[in-house]
Amino acid sequence: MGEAEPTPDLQRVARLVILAGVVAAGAYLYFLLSPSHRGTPWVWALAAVAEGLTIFQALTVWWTVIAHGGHRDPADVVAWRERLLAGIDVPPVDVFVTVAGEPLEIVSRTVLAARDMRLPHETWVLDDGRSDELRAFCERTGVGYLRRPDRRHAKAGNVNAALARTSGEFVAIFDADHVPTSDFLVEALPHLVDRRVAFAQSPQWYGNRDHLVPIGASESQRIFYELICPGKNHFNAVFCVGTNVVFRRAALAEVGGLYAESLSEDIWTSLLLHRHGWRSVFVPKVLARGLAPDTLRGYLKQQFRWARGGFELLFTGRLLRGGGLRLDQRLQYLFTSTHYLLAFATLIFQLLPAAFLLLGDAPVRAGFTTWLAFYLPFSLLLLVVTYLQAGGFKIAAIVASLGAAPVHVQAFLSVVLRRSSTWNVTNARGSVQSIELVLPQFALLVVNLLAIGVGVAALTPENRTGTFLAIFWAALQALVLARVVAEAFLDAARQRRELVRPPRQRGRRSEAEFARGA
Amino acid sequence: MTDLDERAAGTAASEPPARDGGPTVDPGSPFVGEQAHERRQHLRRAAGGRRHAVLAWLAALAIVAAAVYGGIRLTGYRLAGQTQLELGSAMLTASPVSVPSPGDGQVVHVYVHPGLHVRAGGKLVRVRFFGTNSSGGPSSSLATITAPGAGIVSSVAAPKGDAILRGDALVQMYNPQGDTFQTTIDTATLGRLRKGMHATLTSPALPHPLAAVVDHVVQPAAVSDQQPGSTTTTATAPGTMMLVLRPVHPAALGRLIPGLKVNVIVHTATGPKHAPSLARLTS
Repeated sequence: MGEAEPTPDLQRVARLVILAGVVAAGAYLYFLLSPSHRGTPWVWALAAVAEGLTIFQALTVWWTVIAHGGHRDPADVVAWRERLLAGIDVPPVDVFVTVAGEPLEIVSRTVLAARDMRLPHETWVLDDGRSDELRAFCERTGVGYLRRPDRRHAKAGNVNAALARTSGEFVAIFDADHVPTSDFLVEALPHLVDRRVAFAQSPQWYGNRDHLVPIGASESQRIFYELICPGKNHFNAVFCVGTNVVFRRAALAEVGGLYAESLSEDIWTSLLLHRHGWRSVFVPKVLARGLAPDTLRGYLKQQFRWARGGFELLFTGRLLRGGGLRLDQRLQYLFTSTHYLLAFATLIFQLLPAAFLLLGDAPVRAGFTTWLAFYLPFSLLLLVVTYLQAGGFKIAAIVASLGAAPVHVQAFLSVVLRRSSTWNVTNARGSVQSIELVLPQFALLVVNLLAIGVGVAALTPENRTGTFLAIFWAALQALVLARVVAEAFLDAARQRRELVRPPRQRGRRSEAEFARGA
Repeated sequence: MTDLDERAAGTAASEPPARDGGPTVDPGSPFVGEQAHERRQHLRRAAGGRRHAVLAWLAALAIVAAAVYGGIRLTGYRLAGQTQLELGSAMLTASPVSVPSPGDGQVVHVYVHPGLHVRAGGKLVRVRFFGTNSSGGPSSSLATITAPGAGIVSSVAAPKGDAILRGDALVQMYNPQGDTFQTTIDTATLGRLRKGMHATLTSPALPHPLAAVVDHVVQPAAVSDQQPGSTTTTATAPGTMMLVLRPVHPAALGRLIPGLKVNVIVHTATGPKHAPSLARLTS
């Protein structure tokens, strides 16, 4: 990715399609909201909410994406890069690798890669996992090792503690499982040549793609980093994603380090920096290779954290009031924080066909062809835009994002109800899990299968078209949900295999397990 | 879940810290106590995890069971729903009987008043008829007009002393036993109806639903002829007909007042299977 910038031609085509998409979305909304097409009121209202969210989401993405014209590095960035490579005026740079109990086999690769990056820098391991083995490893390899007395405020606290004990003008941050390329500093650092730039963020890229979860996680990320982030860059609204980023220490100092009051310290820190007038830059090049969550549990946990971060921002970020932000930035933050509302649309779409099949309540009352005439252009254009822009998409990404909807809703509720900020499907670390993880998805699957059964049983010549259409939708939903539920069991089987066999070198496991040689 | 709880507590308590040769801990390290504590917590979590897993499977089973039960109920409900045709509101419509005067004369006495139940042959009015006798002179004769059938007097058209001509209405009666329910119906719906299908009539004014059968359809115009007093039922749109439903037990109508509105549901699975649809009868 990254290197494959969309060509101007493709962008022009995409813009045309987006224009058509806006028209189609308007026509579809008109059809849906017109009173003469209203079906059973409550089903209609749900459908209107879901389609409204979908259309809003599409418009926000299109608005962001259309700003992305493919930019080259500005001249001053290139000039500073040349000087850095020549060894002139290289500023002091600290490189942090944050560790929180990841196994040494994973951490060591990241640490060595960070140490061996081009341009002079000091590398520090920030160990919240308190591993003596890791300390020994750092001593052997000549890397700084920092351990703090407590673990308050998770990663933000870890980084802030390290900021207090180091002094480099710039600070690069990597998660323990994101291995930087040797060019990271050469590519990213020059973007901070402008003294108003607080940080330069490069994409997260996942190298492990051997089954549904990591593939889905990587693919849905890809759209974000290839399309959304370049667009956000145009609006000076790129936010930090916590790793593969290089900060200007002076900027962090101005806002008191990473924002410690949330587990989504990255986006909150970005918001604070933008409020203080700092700029941010997106570097559209893969400069680190990470590990996608490779268990469903890890994936859902990550999704919960991200969704929670978004909703926190939405409800407590004072995005519309609060000073310091330009209108474009407010909009972009608003778009980001509302992104996971799409989960409600997903849930509704997973239930609408069932509502029709089970109860006979349809959202709209119109002939099949009339409905199709309004619905098809909109949904096709939605797909075409994404396809053109992203250069295709994988089923795994769709399954993964649809399957995470219940978790996104849980995150929403946790923010609204002020519940704990971690996802608590309680399960012992390392133990094999299955149905517990996917109960909501399982329930949705059962409802859809049930609906298909009842729909077939109650088939009459009068409701045939509607029933067939609903069965088709319900079957699609059931396939996706079944795949997610199946993944929970595949996951468990995979873990059982790994417990028996010597560990394959991938995935995060707890320190305790690693120490036991599990 | 108590046994599981106990087992969980037992596991956590009996497990010595780092029994299975866990990470060797530097005794001088300030984290010794903490690591042992973490280990105990880990084990407690493991036991809690097992309990959660059992609960999760029970929940999954409950979901499936609820789905099977709900599916059967819903299927039954949907199938029943399909054989029910909602026709909306129908009106109890009386068949009025007008008792005419057989000749010219004057009302001498009225025996009835509106609301009175009258048997067949019951006295209604005494009339003095004027005529010519055989010799051509004026003559008069007294006669009592009786009810042609049982019913209720709805109005007295000619009070005492009124002069009447032959054919003038003396008394308006109606027969509640002959009342029907009438509703406008889309001609497209007629195809689903056959004579003899059962219908359920409900109304907040009725203590029990009434049973009725589909009888016949009439042109709306015909209804308005029969019912000069009624204007509401005659306002029909083109493409609609008047469906007439006959109550199964006319006696059950009791003293219901014509004009009563009821809700009609026709059970399309009932009635003679081979009767032609009403659509064919009207076309």
